[in-house]
Amino acid sequence: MRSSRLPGSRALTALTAATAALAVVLSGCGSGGDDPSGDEGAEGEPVTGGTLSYAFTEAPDCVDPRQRPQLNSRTVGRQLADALTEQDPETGELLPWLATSWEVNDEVTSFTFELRDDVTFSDGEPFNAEAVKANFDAIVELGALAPQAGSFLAGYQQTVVDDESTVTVEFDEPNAQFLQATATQSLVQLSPASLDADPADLCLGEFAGSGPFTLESFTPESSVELTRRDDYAWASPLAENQGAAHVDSVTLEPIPEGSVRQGSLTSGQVDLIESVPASTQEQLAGTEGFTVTSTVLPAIAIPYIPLVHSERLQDADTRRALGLAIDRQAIVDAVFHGVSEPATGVLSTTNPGHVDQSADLRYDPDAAAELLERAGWDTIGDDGIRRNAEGERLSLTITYQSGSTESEQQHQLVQQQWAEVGIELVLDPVATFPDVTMDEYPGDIATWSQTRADVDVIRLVYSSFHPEMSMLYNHPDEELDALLTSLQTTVDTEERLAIAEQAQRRIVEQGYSVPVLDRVSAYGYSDELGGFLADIEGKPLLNEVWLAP
Amino acid sequence: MPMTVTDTDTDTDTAGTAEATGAPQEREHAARARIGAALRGTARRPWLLLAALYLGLVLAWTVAPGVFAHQDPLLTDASRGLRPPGAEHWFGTDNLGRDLYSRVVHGTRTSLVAGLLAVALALVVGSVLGALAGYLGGWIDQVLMRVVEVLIIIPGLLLSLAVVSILGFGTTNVAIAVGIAGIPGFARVVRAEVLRIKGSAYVQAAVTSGRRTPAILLRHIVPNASPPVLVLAALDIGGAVLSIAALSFLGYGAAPPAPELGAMVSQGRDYMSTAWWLTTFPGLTIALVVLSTSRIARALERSGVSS
Amino acid sequence: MTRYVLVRLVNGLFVLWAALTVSFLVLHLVPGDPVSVMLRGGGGEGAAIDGSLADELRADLGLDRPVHEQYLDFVWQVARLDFGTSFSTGDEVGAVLARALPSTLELAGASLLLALVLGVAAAVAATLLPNAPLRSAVLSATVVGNALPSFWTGIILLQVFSFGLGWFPAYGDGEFDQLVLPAFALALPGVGLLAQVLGRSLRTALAEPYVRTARAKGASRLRAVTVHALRNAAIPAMTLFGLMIGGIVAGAIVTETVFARQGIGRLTADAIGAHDFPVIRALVFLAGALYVLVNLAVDLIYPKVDPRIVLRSA
Repeated sequence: MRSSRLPGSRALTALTAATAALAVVLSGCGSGGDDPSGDEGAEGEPVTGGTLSYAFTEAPDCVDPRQRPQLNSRTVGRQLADALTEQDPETGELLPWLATSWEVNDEVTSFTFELRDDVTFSDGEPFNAEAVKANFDAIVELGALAPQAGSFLAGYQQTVVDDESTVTVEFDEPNAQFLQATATQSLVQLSPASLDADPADLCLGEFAGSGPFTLESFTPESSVELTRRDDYAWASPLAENQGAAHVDSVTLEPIPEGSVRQGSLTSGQVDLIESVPASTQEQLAGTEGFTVTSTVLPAIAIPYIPLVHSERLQDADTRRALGLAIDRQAIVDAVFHGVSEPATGVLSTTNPGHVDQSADLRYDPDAAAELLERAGWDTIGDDGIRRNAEGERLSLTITYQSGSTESEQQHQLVQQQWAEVGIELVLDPVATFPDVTMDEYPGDIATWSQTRADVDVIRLVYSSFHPEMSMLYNHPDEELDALLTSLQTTVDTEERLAIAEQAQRRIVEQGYSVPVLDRVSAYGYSDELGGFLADIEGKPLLNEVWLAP
Repeated sequence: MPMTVTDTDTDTDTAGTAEATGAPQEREHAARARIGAALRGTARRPWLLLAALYLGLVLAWTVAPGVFAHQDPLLTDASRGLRPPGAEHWFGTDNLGRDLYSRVVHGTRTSLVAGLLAVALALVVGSVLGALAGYLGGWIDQVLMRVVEVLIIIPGLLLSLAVVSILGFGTTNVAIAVGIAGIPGFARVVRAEVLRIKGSAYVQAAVTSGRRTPAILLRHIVPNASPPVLVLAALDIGGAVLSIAALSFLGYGAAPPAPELGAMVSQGRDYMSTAWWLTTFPGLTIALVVLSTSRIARALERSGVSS
Repeated sequence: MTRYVLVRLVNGLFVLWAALTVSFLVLHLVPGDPVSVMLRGGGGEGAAIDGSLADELRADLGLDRPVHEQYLDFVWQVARLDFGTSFSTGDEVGAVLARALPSTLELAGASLLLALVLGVAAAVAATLLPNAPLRSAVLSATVVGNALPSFWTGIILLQVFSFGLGWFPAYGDGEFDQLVLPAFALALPGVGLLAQVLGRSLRTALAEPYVRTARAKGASRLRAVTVHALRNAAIPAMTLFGLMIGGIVAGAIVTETVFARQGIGRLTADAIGAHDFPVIRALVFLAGALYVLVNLAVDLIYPKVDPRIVLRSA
């Protein structure tokens, strides 16, 4: 029902509404699902013209992607503005886009970009070094209004214009994650002429970007209309079509209800929908004339997080037992109808830093029971719940934001699985979360979602660094924090991944996270639509899409 | 709370001049005779009989759900997911393999208990406010009726939603929220009744003979004001069940895994095109509960407890 | 007459003020901080928030000031019909309402019209049809209509007419065919209620001496009903209809959720969930003002319909 408009990061809810991703392992199941590549959408040569009708789960309230980290804002933002770099959906490797090359100094504090010189914004202003400087300065100026973008620029000192097409961004301290951040929509480039506008007006789309579309109209939380920019000629390196978009225009409308969204697609009211509901994905894929394309989000695997400030979860054995008592495959089958994947590590399989830890993430209730005995939960009461020497019951509460049927059903299934080894799980749905730091997070167990196609995401979530985003805030694990800090000073890909692997192993060994599943999101479209392509976060490149006449 | 037919006489002040009523004993006797007639009449009204039978069944579910549903409403079994209705599972199963019939039986219990709780709350608080306002009159009446008016002008569901978001989720809180929205109806009816009875000869006589206020309220006013209030309560049960179902549909009800009819309909929406039974049976159960209670309340009303 | 209207309006304003004050106080008791709602925005992933930035924002919104100061500000704002800016979108509340209003007005208009037409038709049918079983069948149908949970009716309508038969689209605002199903779902309980109330008064009116006189003078049964009885039976139905208009916001909460319409109802549910105080207050004001005005209008129409009614101010 209500797809939440709430502080979603604290609940799985966020994902149902906002996710989307494919591209990475484009596991298309065309009609019948037996032909993964050849049977997707319309066939033949792209056709120009037509209006693409695209159904969202929830309409954005702001189309300035720098001010909103939500996926729907980023999806619209991707069509309106371009970024300095792009990420290869398969490898996570950084590719040149508006920046043709870059260099990083040894201290990882200074980043020099060479820029394309043939790019213009839709208001006619040229894209150049001055524009890049103006953009980064403007984001720092936005402050709290651009929270995600601001965090990417933490320690920003200044941007130096070296010449017309060379620019250097300087930081006070090492900031290795900045490079990948330039590929996100949080740091897209807007026309310098737009940057002085009131942030609220920027939200309403009163800006010029260099993207393949311009904003025709925007009604916050209701609808978005895009028009093709005819002189566009600098498409993302992922795109086959380097010129202007195939379709004349795009209309985006929100349909929050999954079944209604799917019904609108099959009855021909819309051409493309995001978030095909898990429950009916198979049905849609089996329907003649429709295609479902799905992929795993490049994120942290959706976990249960044993809160380290919980009295009953002080012991690492207890925390690890929680993970061994979860039958991930059963959850995937019953709740997600097989369209998500059991977690195999702290990160999802499509995150460039993914490490296979499936041996530690097995379903083994006997081993769980053993760990619990060892941790002192060795008496089983009449109610089947374990108690320790003080007679305290092993009862854990999960406080979560209501609104997502799927995560709620998942909790109910886990409730039963844990009960089998003598752990009680109490479900506590709330409408709105209290504004507290992580060390005062209510209950004993949390769920979380955080998407970013870079290993840096574990630094944010599993360190003790950020009061509201880091699970170990105020309860630091020094070994882990040291590893995560060194991520920021390391630019070399191999070295970064090696450090990240150590950190992920530590997280699982200590039971700081119980990864459950890799969330899959799916797009559905009719065979009238061709050229569907998405970036590493699953956002579609609408300039690639064409409609059969 | 959704409107019921009796809520519509807003012009309560004119009720003060209603026809004179007989002495209490006389009324009681007459009422007993009417109820007897009503019972005899039931046999000639098959729908009323059906309504009574269904409500009886639902009440039995409420009192002893285990007797009627042998399967555990919470037990999941992924291998039995989404079975259509059949001999083993009368109403089919949900995607976690839980028996829908058991869930409906237990869910009905939750909804009905909450509905009764809500009406009881509205009845008690509303009656006290209405009786005080009507009997004491003057500025107390003015103030109390303004308070009631404030409750009236905020739409019931909005009021209930706001109350739930303060109290937190849960069946009891939802019942309280719905009950608060139901207070004005009772306050107005009781006030009108009290005004009517206050003017009657026997109350005037009691006042002149020096009886004290509480005694008059208890001996004369409460017994005589109760029949129409009870009819309103009966009519309101259906509305309360509907409101509670709506709130639980919107996601404000009991914490899972506890079954609740509105929440079951809401969860079944993901399966509208693949498993029709998930939305159909819980919805139908609510509709029939509302229908039966209103049928019986109407029969009570018509067989003349108040007319 | 003028005096009557004035007294009623002043009274209405007083009640509105009381309702707003209550909503102001009540909302300040709600746990949960709107600033965190604002910073995290809707629906998506969390972003790193700096504590000092949150404080800055709180100061901007005046949330760090004593409650009584906030209240005085609030009263002054409302007096100028200025409801401030929405916590969750940062937009003017007036603009937020203005965006949601057309969709709901459309839905409300269509469903009230539908309720009126069907309700009157059902009432007349239940009184006039020559066949007694048929009359009681119509009557029973109205009772059933009133008992159905509107969220469930909405789903059944979607299942049958949109997914099954494909006659109507499942979602959306703006087009006429997108309005049919939600308007019907929202109207159904009202149809039942209206038909019952009107039917009851019709039967009472038909038994009145003046109608019998008209019949004796040769007026047909149909004429007796439509010309004489309907007019006199209209009073309770009008009161009810007034209440239905006032209740439309509540009904829209559920209907708009089911049919994915972006109107006032959906806004209400979202605003309450997000603790968006300014929007909730404006909605309370809107619903309250609607209630007061509609009731006044209904009262003013009474004497036109039934000249025996005389208005007096209390």
